Amino acid sequence: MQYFFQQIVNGIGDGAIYASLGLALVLIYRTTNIANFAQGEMATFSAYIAWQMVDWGVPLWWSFLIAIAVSMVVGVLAYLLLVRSVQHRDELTIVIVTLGLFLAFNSFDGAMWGFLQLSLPSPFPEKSFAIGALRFNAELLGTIMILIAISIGMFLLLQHTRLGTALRASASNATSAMLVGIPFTAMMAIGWGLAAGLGAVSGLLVGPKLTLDPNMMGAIIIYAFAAAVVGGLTSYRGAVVGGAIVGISQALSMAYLPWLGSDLQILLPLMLIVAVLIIKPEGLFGSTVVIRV
Amino acid sequence: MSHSRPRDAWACLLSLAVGLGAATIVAPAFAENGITDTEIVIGISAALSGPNAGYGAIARGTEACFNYLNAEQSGVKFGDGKTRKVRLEILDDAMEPARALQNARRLVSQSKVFAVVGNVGTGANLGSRPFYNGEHVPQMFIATGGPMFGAKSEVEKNPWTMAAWLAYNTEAAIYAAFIKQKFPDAKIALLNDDSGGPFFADAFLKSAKELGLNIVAREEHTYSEPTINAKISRLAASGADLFVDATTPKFVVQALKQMTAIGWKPVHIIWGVGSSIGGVFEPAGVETAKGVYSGQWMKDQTNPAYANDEDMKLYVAKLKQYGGSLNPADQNAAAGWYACHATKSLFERMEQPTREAFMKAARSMKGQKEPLMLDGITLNTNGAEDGYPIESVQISQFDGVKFVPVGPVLNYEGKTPHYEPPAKSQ
Repeated sequence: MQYFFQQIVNGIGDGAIYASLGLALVLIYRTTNIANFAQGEMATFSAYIAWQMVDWGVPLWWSFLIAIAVSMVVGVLAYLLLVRSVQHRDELTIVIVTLGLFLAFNSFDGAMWGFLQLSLPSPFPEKSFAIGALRFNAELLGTIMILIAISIGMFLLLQHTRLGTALRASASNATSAMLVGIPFTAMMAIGWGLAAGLGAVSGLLVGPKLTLDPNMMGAIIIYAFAAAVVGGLTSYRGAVVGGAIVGISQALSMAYLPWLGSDLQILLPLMLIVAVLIIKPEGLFGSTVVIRV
Repeated sequence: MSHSRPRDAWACLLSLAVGLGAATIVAPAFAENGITDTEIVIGISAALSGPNAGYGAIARGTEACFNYLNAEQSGVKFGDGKTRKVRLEILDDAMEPARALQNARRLVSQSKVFAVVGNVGTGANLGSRPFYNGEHVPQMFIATGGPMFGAKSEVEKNPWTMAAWLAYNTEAAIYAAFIKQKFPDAKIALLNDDSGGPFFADAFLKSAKELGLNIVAREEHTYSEPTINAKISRLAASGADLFVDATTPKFVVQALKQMTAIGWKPVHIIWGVGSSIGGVFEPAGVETAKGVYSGQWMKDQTNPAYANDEDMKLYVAKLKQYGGSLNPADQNAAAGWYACHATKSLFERMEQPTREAFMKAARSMKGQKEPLMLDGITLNTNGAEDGYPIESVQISQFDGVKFVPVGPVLNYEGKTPHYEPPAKSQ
């Protein structure tokens, strides 16, 4: 039984990683209607910025704040310089551009900082707690609290502020938004900036856990998409719960279905995505989009 | 230009023809085999881009070394008494077998290389091996621990190919013997990755069976898995008190962190690939890595024990000078440096400027010592009988700061386990 609960804790830990990046995916999808495949690589870039600051002797929390700020600027620039020009083309074009961004950030990280594992300090104390024989550490608890705070913050921003309403309006109907005087380009740029900042938080949470290298988020982005889709691509709460579902089911399948083997592990998030899309296409917490024709 | 006038087109053609003619006249009189009295052309195909771009440091380390030899020693003095500069041509294959084969064709037929040296990756080298052997072009000191490259039956079929690294099966057999001697009653858990790991695991399981060791759990992971925490918990739950970890730096770091998190403290053996102090133990936290055993054959720049080592000092200084942004702490760069020197030693011993003489030197190395190799470890080969250049290892234990040797160098010369191609494709 202890083994079972330990695997649940492992699953929640991994799920928190997926959820952190999943939140950024949800944010960019809600504000710009784009599935950004480069989100993970942008987060890795942010983590490198933080590492560089720490390496230069900047205090930890300042490093993190600078990394988040720089990432937001980079996110805005990525939109204005690259994505904006293709935004009204078909979805495939946008996907290709985000894949191009993926490669660009990945190569840039490798060229700048090399391929050795780097150690990004954790913002949390190195304490672990035990309940009975079950062990978990401060990092896990801290990560979960930050994720919950972010999802509440994002919910409040988008649902209860004028900026949030404008962001959502731009994403759902660009022409109408512009007709009522919402600056469309600025809203899109803000969406990309916010998502990049959220991605940076993800990079800063994941970096100390997995150690930093240019491919840190390569595998995680797939699971983050799974988390976001399972939760419904439009819901922050959904991304967090979706992350936990993906993480726990992954840990339990590893623990109790060893015949699945490591090669087939990757099928699990894909099966979850397909199952959710078939049974409840809007996701567990997603809202149904009604288009009046 | 889509609408150039006909006269322009003719002018272009004419100048192209003149240019080509001139090029033919001034081109150096290269023999077909890439060697003249003053120069030798060497090719490298390695991953410089893509997810395995980190291994590109091997090629860059070799390049830095040959640049240093060309600049400061005016090249290499060959066995025939002539001093030649070494010209390198490095191509990117992203460690994909198909691109490695394309590069092989280009290097041999266009660049007319004398040999390729230090090509990276088991799969990429296997993919291009038939071509190099068909063309009789040496595929020398390739960067892989794949056991097939040294096995007798394979060497007979592919005599132009030789690996540079300790083979995974040799290393596995040595750990099994070490465990038998020191921890005969251990309950063993084994973790390996799915690239080099299966070769290691197969040989380890076989040796363990022969020696009567008790393996209680085994896990394998792929690179598409974001974390291996659940697998470490599973291994810990098996009750194992000795953990053999045969995976790459990123996942060794994760394993160490997870072991600390769940409080699992077995005797811990990490294979050479994953036991760099700077690349693994420091990111994971040196406290958690204290007590780790590992088998090594190369010096690690991040091991303070080698701070005053002459080989190491030269390597660090020249890598800074000729290696651009290469980090001396990167064991891949060190591996490139070693491959360059091992090749230089063969050049010095080849009596004729031919590929046959080069291979003859390669297949008859006796106690050849190279920079950055641990004391007591040398290169030895003997035709197809012994196709594994390195078969000895120094087991060492990490004391929180540096590796401390445990016992003498374990010499498995001629004792590498017999390699059989696996039934399932790797």
